[in-house]
Amino acid sequence: MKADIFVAGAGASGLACAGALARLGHRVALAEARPALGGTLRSLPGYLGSPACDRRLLAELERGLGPIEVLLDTRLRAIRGGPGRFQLDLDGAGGEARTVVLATGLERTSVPEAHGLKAGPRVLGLSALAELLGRPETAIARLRGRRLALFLDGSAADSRRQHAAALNLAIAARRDFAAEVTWFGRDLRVAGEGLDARYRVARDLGVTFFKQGERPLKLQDEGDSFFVEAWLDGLPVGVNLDLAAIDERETPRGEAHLPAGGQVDPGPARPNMRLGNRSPRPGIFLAGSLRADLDLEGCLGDGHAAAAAVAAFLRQPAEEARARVDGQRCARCLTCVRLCPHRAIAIQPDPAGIRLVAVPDPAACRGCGACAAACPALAITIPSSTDEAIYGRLGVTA
Amino acid sequence: MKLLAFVCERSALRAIEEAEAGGFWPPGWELSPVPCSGRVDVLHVTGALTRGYAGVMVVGCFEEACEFLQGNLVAGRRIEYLRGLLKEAGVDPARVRLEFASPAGAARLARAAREMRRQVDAIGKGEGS
Repeated sequence: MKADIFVAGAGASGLACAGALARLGHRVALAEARPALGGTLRSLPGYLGSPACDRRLLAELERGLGPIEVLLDTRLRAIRGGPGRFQLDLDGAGGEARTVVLATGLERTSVPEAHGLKAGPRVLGLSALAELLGRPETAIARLRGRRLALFLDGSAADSRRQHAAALNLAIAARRDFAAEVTWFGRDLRVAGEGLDARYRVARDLGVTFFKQGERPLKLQDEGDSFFVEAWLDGLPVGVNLDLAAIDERETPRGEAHLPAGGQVDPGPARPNMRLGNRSPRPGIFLAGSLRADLDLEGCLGDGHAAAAAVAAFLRQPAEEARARVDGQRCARCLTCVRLCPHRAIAIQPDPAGIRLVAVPDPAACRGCGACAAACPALAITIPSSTDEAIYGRLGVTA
Repeated sequence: MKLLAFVCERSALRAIEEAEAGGFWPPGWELSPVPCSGRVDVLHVTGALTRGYAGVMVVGCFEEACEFLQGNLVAGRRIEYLRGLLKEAGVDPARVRLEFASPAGAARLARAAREMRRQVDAIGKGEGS
């Protein structure tokens, strides 16, 4: 596999990014760890309640892919090398790419302890509840006429996307399976596209909303049911429950999934994590919910934003704007190697193979001139921006 | 009094062109465009100071906006180092200044240029008296 751009992850953002870059004429390879394209798009319970919508969107995105090398059932295990010459480990097979886009998405872990609960068959994460609702036979047995509570006072309470998904689940459980649904949240977010409509539908269907306020909830496990003491208008209210669905902590896919060499530091906690499209490592870009709390539209847009960043990065400077090294002068002091923001310079044998000198990689050099400014031996020049030209503009000579 | 600005072609130069077109760029400045503020060497700045320029401003992109990833940070470190050297040599470090600008930041950059002009003026009068 050899490509200009390697995109890891074929979810909404990965597909959008790969499609946009291929339309710009770049050679793109797209890898997906699962046997089919789509990522989270395949398992969403339906955008605004319509299961057909995502399938259409997925088909549209797949059509837009064009001449892209698609690798299914392939994980990116490690990234080595620098921009312009990344070497990839793809499940043992090798690959080369000039840039890498990581769009591997999120990993959800439910944390019942955060709510004073123990993990068990009656405590589900929101994604497990979504899965349950997708299997009607099981869902009827477990939900019909039962008392279900959704607890949102962790990370989901701050995330519009998770909030909307939880409201969808509450509506589905109430409408399709006649469950008695109670919602415990730190805050109820109705300001946002679609949130207000969802909230009204849920309320009209008979979902009960409790705003948690300052006082923490008291949960008691009573064997086959829970008892929750909540507060309504300052008065304590007791609610019995059969099933609890709790919000989940979301993190970028962990070390098992994020390739070695591509790790990013997500900061202390989601959902306020926000990384840029450009990762701290030059030539590696991030797209989609891997880097920020994004919903579907956000992921599609972010795929395009990452594509624009990659395209700008790959724009080659003219020949005379790239660094040249005078091998005779080079003192091999490593100043340029240390300073180059693109890791474009390495100490290598000169063309004659006689001595070691600094050699800029033409594929990686962007022509910023940081090396030329710092070279103590004055061995590096940028032909389009020489010292003579800079001094000449000042009316002085070097 | 002559003043010099080394300006990044990608951000600051565009901002200054806009300021000049709008008529609010202060007079007395000469411009030296560079591909990136990281291209500006300590010797370029000292060379300008020893050859008659009263003050030198280096203008790069904002952090994280640098086309070359870290050129602006490299320039920042260099200019800070140079200001330390100037202070030791008895030259007022305010004669050298680092600014960050975006192509849309014409007004802000013009304000910084006016402010630096005033500062350098004051230094000149102080040294002259």
